Amino acid sequence: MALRLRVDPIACDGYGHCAEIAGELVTLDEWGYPIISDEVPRRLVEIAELAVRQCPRKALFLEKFEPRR
Amino acid sequence: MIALTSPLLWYTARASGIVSLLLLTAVMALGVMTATRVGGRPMPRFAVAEVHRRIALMTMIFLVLHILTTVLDTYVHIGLLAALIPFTSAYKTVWVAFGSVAFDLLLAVTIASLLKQRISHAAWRAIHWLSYVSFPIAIIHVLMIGTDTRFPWMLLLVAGCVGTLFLAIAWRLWAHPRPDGALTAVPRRKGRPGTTATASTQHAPRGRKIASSGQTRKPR
Repeated sequence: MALRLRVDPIACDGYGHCAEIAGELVTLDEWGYPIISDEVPRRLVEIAELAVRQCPRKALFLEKFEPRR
Repeated sequence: MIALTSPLLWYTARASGIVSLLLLTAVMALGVMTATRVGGRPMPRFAVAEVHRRIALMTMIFLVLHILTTVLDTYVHIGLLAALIPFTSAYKTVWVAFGSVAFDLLLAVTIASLLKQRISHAAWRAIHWLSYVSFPIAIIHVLMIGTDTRFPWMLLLVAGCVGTLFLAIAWRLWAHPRPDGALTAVPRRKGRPGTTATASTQHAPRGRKIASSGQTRKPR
């Protein structure tokens, strides 16, 4: 079981806080909306959780998923 | 134990009231800056939001100090409940009530923000707008009951705070923030993204949220 970041595209308003906090996991597209990587490595889980907490729109969350091996 | 008749309490009450006003003005301005996405280099947007949050908590601490010292001081008689529940103070009933209402509203805003991960975003936002109601009520409280408003420097200070808030509101109304319209600390990607999904192409979220608070990793 691994963790990945997900964006609620309806709630997201492109504040960009997630990309500033978790630059290793989130980049911004040319309109300022997040592009998120597939899997959150264990060492970055805390940073991912911080980005989730700091999202001004509550549009970011972590979910468990079964990675393809 | 400080003697309750000591002028120290009374001076602290006055000073903490003034400091609260200054901090509240800063919090309001920083809140507007957060909402309009001010930030980039050298101070990223999330840092503006974080400073807003921390100064807001500091404001609440100074307001508690302001209320406690006013209650403890014997120069005027205001009980703790009279300071918190509007229109229950025998001393200057109406103008103390303005202070109570301003504080109670800010308390609601603070509690809603502390519970932000547990309440809906719409509820949090609705409660957060109450700060715009609290500020003018606080200003009236300052002007009508403030001991120091007989001094020109205090009136200048109040005018500065009101002016700052008006500028902030004007900025909020006319700035028209767009996600791609301002600088971020993070450079944006040019061209088409590769294999990764973007918010605009990704499907609506499915599956369980498991760490919306970050405090607990157990699924709810």
